[in-house]
Amino acid sequence: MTMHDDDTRDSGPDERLVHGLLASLAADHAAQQDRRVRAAIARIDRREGVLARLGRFGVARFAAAGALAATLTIAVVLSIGPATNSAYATLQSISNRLATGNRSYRQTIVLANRDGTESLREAMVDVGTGRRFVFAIDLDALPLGPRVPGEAGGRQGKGTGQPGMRGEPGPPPMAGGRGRRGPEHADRPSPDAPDPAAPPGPMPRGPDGPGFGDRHGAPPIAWGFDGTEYWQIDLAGVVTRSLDPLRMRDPMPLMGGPPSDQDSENDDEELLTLQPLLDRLESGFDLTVVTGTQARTAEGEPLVVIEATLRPEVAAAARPKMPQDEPKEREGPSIRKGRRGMRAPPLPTRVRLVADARTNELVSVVADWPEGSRFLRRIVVERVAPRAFDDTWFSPDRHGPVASLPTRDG
Amino acid sequence: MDPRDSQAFEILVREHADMLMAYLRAMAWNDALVEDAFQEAIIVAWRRLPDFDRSRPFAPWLRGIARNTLLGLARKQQRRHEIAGEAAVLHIEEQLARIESTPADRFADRLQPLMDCMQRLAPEQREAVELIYAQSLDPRVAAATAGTTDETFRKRLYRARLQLAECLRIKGFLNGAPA
Repeated sequence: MTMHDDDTRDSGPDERLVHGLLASLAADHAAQQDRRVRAAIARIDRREGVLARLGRFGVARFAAAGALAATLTIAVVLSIGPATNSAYATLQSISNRLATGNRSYRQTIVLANRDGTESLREAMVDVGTGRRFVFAIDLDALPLGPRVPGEAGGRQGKGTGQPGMRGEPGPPPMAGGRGRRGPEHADRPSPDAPDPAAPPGPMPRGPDGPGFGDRHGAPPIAWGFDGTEYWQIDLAGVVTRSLDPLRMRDPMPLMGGPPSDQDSENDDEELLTLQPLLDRLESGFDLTVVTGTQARTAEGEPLVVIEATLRPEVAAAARPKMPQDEPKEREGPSIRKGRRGMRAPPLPTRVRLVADARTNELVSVVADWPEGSRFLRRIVVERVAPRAFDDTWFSPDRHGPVASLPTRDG
Repeated sequence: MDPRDSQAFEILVREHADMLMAYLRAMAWNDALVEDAFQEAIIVAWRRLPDFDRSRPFAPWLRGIARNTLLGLARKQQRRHEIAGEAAVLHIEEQLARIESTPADRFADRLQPLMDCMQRLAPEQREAVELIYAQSLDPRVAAATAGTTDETFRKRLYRARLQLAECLRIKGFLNGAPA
């Protein structure tokens, strides 16, 4: 029984109003109201904090970073060869590869800011059976940066090493930063435990378009496949669903241009295994197997460590052309006009690969870009101990932004 | 007020929080839904604050946002049928506007007629109202406390609300509700 049982649901408006007014009689009414208002303001502050942090780098820049993070797992591949794979293909390949069990990957990007500082982005990819996956930008990790290269910081000396590995120290440490989160931090919320600070109720859904942000709409912050539908959530909380794979918005310009026609041909490639990466690396990098390592996985499987160093002639060839070097564009409309000026990004100068020697499954990739790189400094992809997913983990309801905002609010 | 001044916004929200909760509770019986709608409405109001015409009163604007937020949430939770109908909502809004026009510093101070009407209730009805609303007891516990059955207690409470509404109409605090 409630204080307003079924027989009163058709109550007149005055009775309803009296009910509403009487609620203010509660002895703890003031405290309850204070709690409600505080909670709402806290959500606003948190949201504004995220937006402020986004604003520091620009929303569009964050969107690009988010999309970039989505392509991170094959960033090395994309950077070395022609851009042949979509972000979706990346995740699809993870899904294909990992259909036999849960896997979690942490993705860390060091971005170069225009003012010479750096900033970090983190994201997680969780993959489950049935080709389900979740890719989520870690909004809580956004306060990392900007930082001055080389400045001492919280991450120094800790690296982003994968927990559970024996002997293999993991990717080298970042050169600084004010990092406050990492795999060694126990305060990272478990995916199978609902976040008490998470917005209540289901996420708003609908193709209503962007809620705020730049003219292209709010940046996406999470993507996934729940076994039935593909979905994407943007920062405004708008969920887009589709029975067909959703392509992440615009990841390619910053990764070397739009997907080529070869895109679909490579969708099934298992990019997380070592060999495809090596095939690409072979063409532009000198490869060295690092000897003397006795690294093993947590399961005791041996690891193989490979260092790839960019060949000077490849670096020179990949150097961006100056505008005067470009052929004069033909007159008349061109569908490529909007893409003018886009070029392949600088190649990483050094790539370090660690793979399971038995299965060839990649367990980490660290790619370093040269000083002066205008967008990227470092990308780290590392397999981490699989998180305990429950079945709802792959639903968009579990991966909203700071504040879920209704899409139609009068 | 600077439209993006969160401290000023918080003050504004606190000023209107009682009215907003009363409005949402009048629209929907479901407490969880009301709580969610309150939170969401505040956040949406903040987001839309730059669009607010400051030459107009804040309360009706906030209620408009709250109404749409509640309807949106109810639709998503398939509880739309639990929300008051359009005519009832309109009436509730009119009554709240009347209450707000009463000179007083706080919303609670404007409810003195309700307090007066409470005193006119039959003792067992007043007890029911106090147990549920003032002491926030679970209805079953309240019924047990009142020494009656759940069903009897529920009807008692229902009649008490009707009595209060009638009393408030007589006092001119409320206008007549639509049929």
